[in-house]
Amino acid sequence: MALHLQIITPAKTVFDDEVDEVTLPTSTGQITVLPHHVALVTAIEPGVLIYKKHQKENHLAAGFGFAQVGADNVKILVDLAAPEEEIEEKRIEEAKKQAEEALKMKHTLSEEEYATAAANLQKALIQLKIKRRRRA
Amino acid sequence: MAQIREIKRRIKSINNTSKVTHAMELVSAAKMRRSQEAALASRPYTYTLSEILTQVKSRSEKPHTLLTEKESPKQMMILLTSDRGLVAGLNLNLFREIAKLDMKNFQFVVVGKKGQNFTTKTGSDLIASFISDENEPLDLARTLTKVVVDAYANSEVNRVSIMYPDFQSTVKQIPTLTQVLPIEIEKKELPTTNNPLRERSEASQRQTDLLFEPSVDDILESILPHYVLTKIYQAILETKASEHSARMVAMKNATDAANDLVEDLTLAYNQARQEAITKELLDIITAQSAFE
Repeated sequence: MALHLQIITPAKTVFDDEVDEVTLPTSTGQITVLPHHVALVTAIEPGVLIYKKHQKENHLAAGFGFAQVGADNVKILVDLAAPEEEIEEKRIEEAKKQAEEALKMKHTLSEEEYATAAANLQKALIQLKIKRRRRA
Repeated sequence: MAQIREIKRRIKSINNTSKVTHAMELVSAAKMRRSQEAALASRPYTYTLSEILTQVKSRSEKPHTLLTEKESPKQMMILLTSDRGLVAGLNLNLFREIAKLDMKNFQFVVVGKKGQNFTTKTGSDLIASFISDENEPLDLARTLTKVVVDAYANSEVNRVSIMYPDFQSTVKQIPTLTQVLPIEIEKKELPTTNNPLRERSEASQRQTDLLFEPSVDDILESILPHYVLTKIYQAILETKASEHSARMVAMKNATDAANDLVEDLTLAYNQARQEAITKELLDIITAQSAFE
C-alpha cells in the first residue's frame, strides 16, 4: 500500500502524490513514516524532508509547521518547502547574510523581530545544506 | 450647427473617459488574476490546518487562554476594506452589515482607508488602522494577530471577529463575519478533497488512538496562535482578490456604458449633420429656383 503525501504551504500545494516512505524533521528528532503508521500529530522544525518513491530519494528543505500522519496519508503544513532544484543559492546566501546582520543588532530588536530573524536564518541554513549536499 | 459641435465635444470627452476606464480594467485584470491565485492557493493550507486543530483540540483537557471565554462587555472587530474606491458596492456592503450590529460595544481594528473613513464618520471606537496597500499581507497578518491576541489574552474584549468580503467568484463577493477568538472550528470542506481515500482514513483515525509529539499541550500551544494568524492572512488575501475583481468588473461596466453612449451619440451626430446638409441644399435650391 502506498502512502499519500501532501505538502502544503500558504503559497501553494508543493507536493500531492503517492510515495513509499517519508522522513520528517520534527521537534523531537527525525521520524520516518511508512504505510500503516499509527495516527500522529507532530510539530515540524526546519530540516531536511525526504520522501522515497520508486527507490528514489527526494530532498526538500522544510520550514516550521505541523504534520498529520494517518494510516495511509501524511499531510504536512509548513511555511517553507523547497525542492532541491528550486533553491537559488545566491538568493539564499543573501537572505542568510541579512538574517545574520539582523541578529547582530540584537539589542535594538523587539522580541518578535529577533525570533523572525532567527527563524529566517535557520531556514536559509537548511536550504544551503540541501543544495550543497551533493558537492560535499 | 451649435448642436453638432456640442455632440462632437461630448463624444470626444466620453471617448477619453472610456480609454481611462479601459486602461484601469486591464490593470485590475492583471492584479485580479494574481490576487485570485494567491487566495485560492492558500485555501488548502487553511482548511487542513483547521482540520488538524479540530483533532488536537478534542484531545486536550487543559483550558487554553485562546479557547476560553472572557468576561468583558466589549467586542473587537477587524474590518478589512480597500484603500481606493471604484469597487462598486464592495465596501458599502460591509458597512451596511456592520450598521445592523450594535456598534457601541465594538472596538475596531481597520485595514484600508475606506474603512478608516467609515469608522471616523460613525464615531466608532477605533483601536488601530492600517493602510492595506503599503503592507505585505503576511506582515500585516502578523501585526493584526499580535494586536488581537494581546487584547484577548488581557481580557479587554470577550470576542474577536473579522469582517471581510469573501471571494466567491469574479462577479460575486459576499460580506462575511467570522469569529476569530475564542477559537471555534467551523467545518468547511474543500470540495476537491472529497475523495474516498480521505474519508476512509478519517474513519480509521477516529477509531485508533492518536499520538502527539512532543505532547498535546505543546502542539496546542503553538498551533493556536498560528491558526489565528492563518485565518487573518486568508481573510486578507480574500479581501485583495475581492477588491481587484470588483474593480475589474466595475471598470468593465463603465467602459461598456461609455461605448454604448458613444454609439448613441454618433447616431445623433450623423442625424444632425445630415439634417444640416439637407437644410443647406434646400436653401440653395430655393434660392436658385427664385432666379429662374
